[in-house]
Amino acid sequence: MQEKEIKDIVDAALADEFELDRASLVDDAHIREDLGLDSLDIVDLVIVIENAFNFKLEDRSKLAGIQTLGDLYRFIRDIYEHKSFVEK
Amino acid sequence: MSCVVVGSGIAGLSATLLLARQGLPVTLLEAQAGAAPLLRGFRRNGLYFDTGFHYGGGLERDGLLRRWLQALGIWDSLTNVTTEHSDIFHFADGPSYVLPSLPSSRLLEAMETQFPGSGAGMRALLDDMRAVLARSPYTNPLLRQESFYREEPMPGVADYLAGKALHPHLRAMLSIRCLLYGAYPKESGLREYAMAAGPYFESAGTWDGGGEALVAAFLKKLAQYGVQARCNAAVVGLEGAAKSGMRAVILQGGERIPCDCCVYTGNPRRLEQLLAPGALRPVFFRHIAGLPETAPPFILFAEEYDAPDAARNIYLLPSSEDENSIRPLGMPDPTIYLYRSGIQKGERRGALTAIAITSAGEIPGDPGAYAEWKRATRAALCGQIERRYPVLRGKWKVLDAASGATFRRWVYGCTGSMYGIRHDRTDVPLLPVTRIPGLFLAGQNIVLPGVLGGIISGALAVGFAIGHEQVLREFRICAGAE
Repeated sequence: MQEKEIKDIVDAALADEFELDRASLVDDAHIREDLGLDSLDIVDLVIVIENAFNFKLEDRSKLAGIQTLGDLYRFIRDIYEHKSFVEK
Repeated sequence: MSCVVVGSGIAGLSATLLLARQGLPVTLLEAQAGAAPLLRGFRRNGLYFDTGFHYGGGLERDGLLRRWLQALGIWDSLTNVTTEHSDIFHFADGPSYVLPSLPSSRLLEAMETQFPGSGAGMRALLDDMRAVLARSPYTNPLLRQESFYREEPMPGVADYLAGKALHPHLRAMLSIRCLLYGAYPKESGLREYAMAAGPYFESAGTWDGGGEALVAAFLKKLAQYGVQARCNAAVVGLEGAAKSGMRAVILQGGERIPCDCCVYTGNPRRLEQLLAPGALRPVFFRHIAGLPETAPPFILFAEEYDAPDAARNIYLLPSSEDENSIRPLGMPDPTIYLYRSGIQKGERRGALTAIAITSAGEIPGDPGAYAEWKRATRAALCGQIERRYPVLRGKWKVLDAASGATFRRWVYGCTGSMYGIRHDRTDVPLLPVTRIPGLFLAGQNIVLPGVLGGIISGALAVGFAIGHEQVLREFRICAGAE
């Protein structure tokens, strides 16, 4: 999957579910500090991402390293590259 | 802080007791006519059928269930605790084996005798399960750390066992313990297996009166704190929002019970109906809706005469070739679990419970079609049991049968599955906390099914409400007490 396509799907899902302004969704936006998502939101975020891409993550432990939206896009790109997901 | 606990199953009883012990005012609500209907079990023809407990693991000295029952002040009310129940396995392709519950060195010896060369694999399994349990302060009283939930990659049970060079029959025997929490070895993770099945390896047993005695002990203890279960009190609404926090619980009939803390142990699939629209994000409900259910059970309750052997737990399994070894009725050689309860020395009669699983969506809705389906399913299950466990022939009589539809009537808010939400390795688990401050979730859907899972789940929810250190204090003290 292309980077641009990933970004579009993630941004649309985030804007929709968390009522975030599309303009705030930039690569170096910090998910916690800039977008204001807390640890409970992160659980919702995982579900939003899984639903948007129609997969289930094989290994959620890697989520802990995600700080920025850019990290999140790269995380999803890696998942597709390594096929480390379960199809829903 | 005034508290309401919704549901009087094991998670609700535990949460109520832990809150009451803090001196907090607690109301315990139960929709059915009596507290803990499933855990309490029932009597038929003078025989006691232990539907909720059967037998439990972790009852040895320092065992996990024993420690929690001690921490709750319940342990001393239980009498004649037994700890060495064995599981007997009869495979459709011939052989029979025993998986005893014993201290690890004796257990390894017993398995080595039956399955030469299995020692290293069995030892690794016991060690790995112990390591998993050591990571949470709710399962390890010696652990002093704040972080109790960490996402770590966990292998699937089937893959894990496949990598352990175990005899195929032994692998099937170990896999089948996923049935304790309604999971399948392929989808279940080692974390869940370690917590739900792990404690059964070193000790498994029960006490006089089983689930019924456990409920009685909880109610007696609660009465000491002035708390009684309020029965026939079905909850139809939860009043609360992310901004204002938990405000009240609404009962059928309109009564409003104000509270700022609510531990909800009911089925989370009902939350969307109970909360006002917009109280929680749509994705929260989509998360719940996306989680799979365990299979619906089909259960026979029978009277047995002159029990042919003393085995308490008998598994009738397909051939060892079937990696998953949990087959629903309707397939060849379906998986069947038989359990004897209330065997008294010198008594000729005993209670025998047989449990199989049916495929989801199989239960007809139309009353006439349902009655026919139930009759046919009951006959099929009886036939399977007599064919594969022939010593029972002429020595048992089925008194009653229960299906997923029976469960729906029996347990309030039940969807008809055996254990509610199935805990698959790749699913994001539901958390005990919600976006509504003061609204906590507990029960088999949040942590795991079973008495231990229910107690820990109740404790975890209360830990989030009042502080984990408060809740864990007694659990930790008990660790050093014996």
